[in-house]
Amino acid sequence: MVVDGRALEASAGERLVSSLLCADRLATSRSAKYRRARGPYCLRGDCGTCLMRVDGRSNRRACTEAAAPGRRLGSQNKHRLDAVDPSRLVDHAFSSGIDHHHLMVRPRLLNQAMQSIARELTGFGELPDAEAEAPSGHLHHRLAVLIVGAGPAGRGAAEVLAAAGVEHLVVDRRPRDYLRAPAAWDDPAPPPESLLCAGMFAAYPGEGIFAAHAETAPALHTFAAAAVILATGSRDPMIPLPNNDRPGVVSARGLLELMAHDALELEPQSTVVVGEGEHGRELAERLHARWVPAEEVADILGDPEVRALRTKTGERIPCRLVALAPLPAPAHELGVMAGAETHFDGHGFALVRDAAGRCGRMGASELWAAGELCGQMSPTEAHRDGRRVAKALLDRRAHVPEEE
Amino acid sequence: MPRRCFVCRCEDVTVHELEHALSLGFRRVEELKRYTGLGTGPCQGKECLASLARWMQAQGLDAELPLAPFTPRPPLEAVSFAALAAREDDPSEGDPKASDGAPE
Repeated sequence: MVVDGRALEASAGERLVSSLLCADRLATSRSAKYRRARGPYCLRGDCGTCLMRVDGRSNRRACTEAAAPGRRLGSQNKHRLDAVDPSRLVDHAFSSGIDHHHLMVRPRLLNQAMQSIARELTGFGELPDAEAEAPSGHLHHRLAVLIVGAGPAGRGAAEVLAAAGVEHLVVDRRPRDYLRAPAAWDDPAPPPESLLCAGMFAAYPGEGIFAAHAETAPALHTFAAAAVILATGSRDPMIPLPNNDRPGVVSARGLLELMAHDALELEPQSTVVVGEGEHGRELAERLHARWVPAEEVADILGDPEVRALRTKTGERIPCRLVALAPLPAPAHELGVMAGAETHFDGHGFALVRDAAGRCGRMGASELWAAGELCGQMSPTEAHRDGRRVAKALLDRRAHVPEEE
Repeated sequence: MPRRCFVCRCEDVTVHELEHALSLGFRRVEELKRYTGLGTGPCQGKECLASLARWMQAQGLDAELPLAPFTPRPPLEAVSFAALAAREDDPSEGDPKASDGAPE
């Protein structure tokens, strides 16, 4: 493949981010305000900093796109990262911060000049080189049970419904080969049979439907289900550390997933793990890596890519990656959009549900929630929780079949 | 590079800027979002919202009123205009058994 005009070696089928990581080319863009070099963080489709222009299409995530011979990757900024970019001076000129409410607002002419320069320098890429190849279709699914998320909880729920012969469909944004690959640390069960690989992008309470977008067979999918089991899992929030934005600061969970699915191999001395999350312990064990508590980190060094981590005791630990392992936070957004309530549990906004697992209604759909979306639990516990909630749902169907 | 400590990397919002907003009297998730721009970038808060809430709890800001997330709005995942424009009033029925949801 080619990245910003230079050759990039890759194994076919691996995530683009794995290729970039092996080539030590993790800087993908400049940030919007301070114009600092940025790279991928979460490595699993949640954060917004691995967006690149790929094969003439803008805003493609390097962590979800697969490598193939001849793919062309590039940063989206007007000036390439390795070229002279005058905007990088912004970071140094405003070392004590920018309050955009007051910066160059007056006089008006100065504001106009600043706006025109800022518009030239920022933004998220240009229009695609060509029109989309395949026109998208629209498929509408009416079904008994929709499960959102093919992680441990979604898999557990699907097992129970499949065994009971109840019509259901699991929707997950990850591709099928990715869900099938073995990752013993996180997969207490195989992926479900009845699976649609599409990103669920919205719940529309007014119409009572959920909507997803499939990339591989391009289509809009809408869903109207009698019951919806939300099993969207958790995310890895940023740990606020000095210079935590350097390319090479990545999530420990994302790195574990790449190691499992792309057979990514990292040198033992290349990574330092930071944070108290379970994924950090797992990663540190596998790589025999140093594990440093977040409160002991004084600085992350490198320009722009990570080269070392300095502790508050003054020790300088050389590394290429700083893997952050925050305690995960529930992926609450879809549930809230559908009308469910949340409470802050000290880590994130967990969905509120009753003892059986119900978390509200959206039109004709009864909403249920399972797994890490409802609070911290291990993959094994989430799998068991998914099974429990699906059984409660079946029990309810058996006792109140004609409720509507 | 100056040493900065980011909560929201999409919109370049640092802990220092949150402290500044707090000193101006902004004490709610919605207020801090609107003042700093936190959570309004490509990830729409998936990376920063929990981080903000943890910081607010450490500042004791959850004492007066429970912390609540800002309103999530579509799209939560990347979706093309082509897919949105594909919506039909009378769409084909998807087959839940088919591997990609499409009739074979």
